[in-house]
Amino acid sequence: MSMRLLKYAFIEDYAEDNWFNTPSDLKATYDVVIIGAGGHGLACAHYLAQDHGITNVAVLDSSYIGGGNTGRNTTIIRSNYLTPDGVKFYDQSIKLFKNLSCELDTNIFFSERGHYTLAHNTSTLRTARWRAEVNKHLGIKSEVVSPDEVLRACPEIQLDCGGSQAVEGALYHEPGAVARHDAVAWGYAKSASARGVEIHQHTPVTGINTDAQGISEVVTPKGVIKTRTVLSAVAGQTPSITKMVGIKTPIEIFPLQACVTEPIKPWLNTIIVSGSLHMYLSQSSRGELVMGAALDPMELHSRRSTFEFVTGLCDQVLDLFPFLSGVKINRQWAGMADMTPDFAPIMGTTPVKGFFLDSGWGTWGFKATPISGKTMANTIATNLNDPLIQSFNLDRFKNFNLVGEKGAAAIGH
Amino acid sequence: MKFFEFPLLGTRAISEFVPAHDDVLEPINLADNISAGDWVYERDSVPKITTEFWYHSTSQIWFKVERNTGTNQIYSAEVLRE
Repeated sequence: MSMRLLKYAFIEDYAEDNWFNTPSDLKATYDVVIIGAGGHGLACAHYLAQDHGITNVAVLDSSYIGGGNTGRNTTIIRSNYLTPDGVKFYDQSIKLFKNLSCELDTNIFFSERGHYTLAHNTSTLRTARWRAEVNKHLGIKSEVVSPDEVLRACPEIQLDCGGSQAVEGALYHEPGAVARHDAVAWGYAKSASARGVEIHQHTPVTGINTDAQGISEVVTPKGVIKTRTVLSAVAGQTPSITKMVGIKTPIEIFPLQACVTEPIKPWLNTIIVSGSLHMYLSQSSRGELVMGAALDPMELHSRRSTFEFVTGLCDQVLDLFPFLSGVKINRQWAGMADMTPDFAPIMGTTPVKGFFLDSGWGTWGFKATPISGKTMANTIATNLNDPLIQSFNLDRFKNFNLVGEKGAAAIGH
Repeated sequence: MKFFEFPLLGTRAISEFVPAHDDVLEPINLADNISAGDWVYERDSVPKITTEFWYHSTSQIWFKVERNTGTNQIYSAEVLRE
């Protein structure tokens, strides 16, 4: 524990200002109600206030700030996607991330590491080449590299994978980075709150009422709010919210689990991902190895982590890094992922007037936090889908106009 | 690890099974006011008790499993016959 923190424990008159307001009562009306005080919801509130001067905004959360998928991801940021729509979108996100610490006056521990997606067979290598070409065409630094170059970046890796599925190459993505996910949510909360946005934690939404003009009221246990604009930014629970307004989406909920090891000395300077081994690995600034795997195989609305996950993941990690066999797992957890059929998000306007969606974030939500907030704020302020998110609209499923991003998923599904 | 008593197989870990989708789509009636896209993609993924089709790869037997998607509780499993 730092001495600074310890000092505050004994000072009655707490010197550090609260980062964000905690109003006890809801107002009768708000211009915009955002459901979900995670990174996306708070980022939208921040950009609504900063870019558009809309400050009569309430951000509601059934739990606490950043307690959902914002605090449950593995903090990887990248833009090496497969479709031009995805690449352009995530590239803008990285650009915003790079300047976010200054913009929010909060250190988000943004750390550019480079990102290797390992290819263990010809078909993965083919997809890697495809992604590299799309990326390069759009000015993103991605290239296919040989196993020797992977070894140079990460000398501890065992390229033969213990005798099966040897590494044949990798997609190297220079802008790949990590950042502290809680700090992103707190920073956006601080900035939005300073501009007048109200953040109501422990305020679940139990109903949304509509009238002939669209959205009319949001129902909570603390009272009914009159509003004409609602944004749903609730990763993992979107179908429960859309059901309140009578919209069906293709989203299905699957658990995604992750874990960290005990802190060890820094040895991993990059991010290693293997779709074939269903694992990804990076080292946090605290020295913990942050590891994740594929989605659980069955639909489940639960955040319980499982023993099978840890044993299965460790088995795969040890194929690449046998020297980690003595390292202990410190914590494990699960989040609920909004999975879409094309592995792209669902954003923007909906058939219900005044109801906006920022959803379908599956396993790719944290890296989009700033740009989703910015584009959703623009969409809400103008009531027109921002050009960057037009192809992510819900109506693409009705028209069979999907955005096929499955090949760019970090891990197999 | 989660186990359940399956007919024919006895007590098995549920991780041994490959789940297939729960919905069995009825043929679309184009006269209804629903697009083919909605028919293919729309889901109702809220916590509920549902019937799923699980495949046990080593025995090559399909099961019809009743499960709560909110709590992961399994209520019943029966062998799926043609």
